Amino acid sequence: MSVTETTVDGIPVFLADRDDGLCSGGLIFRVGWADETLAVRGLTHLVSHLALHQVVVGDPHQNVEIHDRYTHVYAQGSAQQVLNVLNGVCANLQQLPTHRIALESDALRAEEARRTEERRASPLLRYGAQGYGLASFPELGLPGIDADLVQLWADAAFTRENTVAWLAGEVAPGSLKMPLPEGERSTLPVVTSALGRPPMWFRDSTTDTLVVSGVVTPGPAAVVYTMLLGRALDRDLLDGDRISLSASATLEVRDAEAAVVTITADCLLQRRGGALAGAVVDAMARLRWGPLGAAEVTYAARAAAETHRAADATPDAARRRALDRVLGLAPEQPAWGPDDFVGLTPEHVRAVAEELHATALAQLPDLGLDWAGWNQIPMHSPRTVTGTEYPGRGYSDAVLVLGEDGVMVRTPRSRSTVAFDQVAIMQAYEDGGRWLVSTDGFQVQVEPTMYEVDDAAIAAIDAAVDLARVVRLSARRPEDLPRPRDTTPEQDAAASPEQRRAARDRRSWLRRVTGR
Amino acid sequence: MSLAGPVPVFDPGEIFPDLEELRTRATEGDLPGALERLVAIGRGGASDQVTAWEVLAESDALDGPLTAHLAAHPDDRTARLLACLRRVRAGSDRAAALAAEQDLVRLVAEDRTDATAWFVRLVTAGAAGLGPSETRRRYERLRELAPEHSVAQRLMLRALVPAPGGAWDEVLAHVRLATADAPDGSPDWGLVPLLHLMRWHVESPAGETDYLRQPEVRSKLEEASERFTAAPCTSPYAAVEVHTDFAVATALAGQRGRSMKHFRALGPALAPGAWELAAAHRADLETVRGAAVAEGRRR
Repeated sequence: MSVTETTVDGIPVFLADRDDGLCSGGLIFRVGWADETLAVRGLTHLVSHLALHQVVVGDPHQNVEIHDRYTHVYAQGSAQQVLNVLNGVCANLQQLPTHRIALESDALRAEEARRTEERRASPLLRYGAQGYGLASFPELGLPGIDADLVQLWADAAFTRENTVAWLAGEVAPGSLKMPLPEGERSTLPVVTSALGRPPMWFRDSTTDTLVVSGVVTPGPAAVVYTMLLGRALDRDLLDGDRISLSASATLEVRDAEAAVVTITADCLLQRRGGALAGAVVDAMARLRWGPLGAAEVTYAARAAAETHRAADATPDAARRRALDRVLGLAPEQPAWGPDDFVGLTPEHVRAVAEELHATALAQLPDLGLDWAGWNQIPMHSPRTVTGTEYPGRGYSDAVLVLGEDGVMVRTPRSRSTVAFDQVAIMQAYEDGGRWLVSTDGFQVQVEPTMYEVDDAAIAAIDAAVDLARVVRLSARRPEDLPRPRDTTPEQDAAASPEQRRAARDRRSWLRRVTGR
Repeated sequence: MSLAGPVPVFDPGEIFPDLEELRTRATEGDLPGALERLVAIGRGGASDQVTAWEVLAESDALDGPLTAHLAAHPDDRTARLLACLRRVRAGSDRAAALAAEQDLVRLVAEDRTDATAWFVRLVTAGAAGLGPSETRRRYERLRELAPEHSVAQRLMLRALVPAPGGAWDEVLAHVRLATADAPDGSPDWGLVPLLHLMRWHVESPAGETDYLRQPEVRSKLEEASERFTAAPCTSPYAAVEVHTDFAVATALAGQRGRSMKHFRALGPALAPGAWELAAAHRADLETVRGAAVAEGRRR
């Protein structure tokens, strides 16, 4: 099955056959959540929902997905149903139903609350609270998004230059009507870095899942490496030591230069206590240094090429070609094809293994990885602030420090700083509470109920933070305001080590990531 | 009048001439020859081999020759592994174990069927505090490769010992499993006195011997001692540690005759572990030991 290309309304359209009598199609826009800032996190999602208004109603075969770098509107059904969706979305984008912003925002917040998949800290720690790091955050920007911003974003991002369409089945491309505005082609989001000296690890004892991610060069060697790594994990974690119920390695191409390998493995209850991390380190090490024969690589490469060929023969090939095009991965041809797997050697695979190790970040359910030479993620801000000090209320030993260039919370054990020129978001409650997140991921909560701060201090913070980073929120109910610690240091010390560790991890990561 | 025993000999190199010969060769100019011999010793069993490895790793005089050898032969796998064990034994702290770990990851990746590499990883798992399930994972890997590894059995038993007040079920299960099919003369019978010595040590901080004198404990010790001495020990190296554990445990349990039997088999040799553990009862133990060795001489 071959994929052909045509152009409609100045927009490339990839076409594939479909032999089951159904039609499918989609629009892929080169804009995703990684293009947002934390202060407008959720903007692309909101625009998409508005664009779908009265076009799609509760049909699982017609929907929109927001990814890091792209937004995909897709539909499956009869030719007319597919055209209705794609044409309807393009029409809506010209004049978005902005009167529905509040309703759609509420719907998106409810969607967030129903999420079953936890947001992980890894993206935040690798990239910071910006770009690809925004995956760690819920859509915090929704309350501050207004009609002007919505239309501005739609006009700038959902343009002809940033759109590619695909169709599969008996649907005439000439029936598409995509009168999108002209505009600048968007470059891919800047890849920021907040990771110090990889390989690195951090602990999140609120989950039994281990996640290791790393950045490698995209291509057939990365595909084969990921396949071999998956097999090694299967052998060691599932069949051998029976540490996990599920373990996998996946590869996602980020752009022409980078692809992300992600290892995900859960831990059986009775195997808690380091074995999971040990087995994963061993599996990774074996592909760097262990015996790896040319025949093994060739066999895996053949299997990968076959998978590639089989995928090319499905209607989905049109969508994948469209995606490659919109991301600029392959201006004319697919990024790589089945023939590129020929001639791969163990050295090619080992090079990918080295790349993964050199960029790795591990989330561990317990213990650490210093024994394997991995570095722990710093728990303290690198920066400090000097200025007026406001002591914590109650039994707290924390001190809030407000200086000219930033704000900091300091305890005898930790330091978290947000410089005013590095604010990713500041949530400003009418009751005076302020929650600031720095682009490096550290956060400071300025709460009049927690520290002896006055109105002048809050006003000084407001004056120092860029308005574009501020999300204003209504006053919280008195019972929802944070309260000073009501346990004494002696009571804290009496808690079990597990309770203390869980509480520390929760404070460090969950609150840092979700703001809750 | 109390009979003092002979001066204890703790050093396996002094006890076994072949180990002394190996150490001399390694530290006095022929490290390659010693490394070759080290691998050959292993043909007698992975468990015996680690005793020889330990003799070399405990030697300060090894550092110079080993460093020079590795500089000239950085890929010599045996030397790299010995350097890891030496680092652990020389440092005897967490930092030393951690430093060795990173090389061990690579050594095991290069050859995951190397039982000695897994043994050293089992040692470092305990020393570096890598967690109970990681320790068990390494132990199970090692047992797959060397099911008769009695030294690993002992290490694992020590790793399973709970904190004061904790449950001993896992330790008991470990000992039951290891001794279920153990033949007469197997060093695995030594896990029984080791278990009871460890439990006594944890649960009797004041050193009173009531625990060991319980009828059911005495009976278990007696049964295991019978099985161990019913045939020549399958490993002469391991026998020193096992006899010492039996000798000390049964002496403290009030089974003087049985204890003498084990001290007699040891002669001047002793393993430091149990002997040090029962330091508070040294005088009593010396008396039993002295009488046993004297009787041995008379025979």
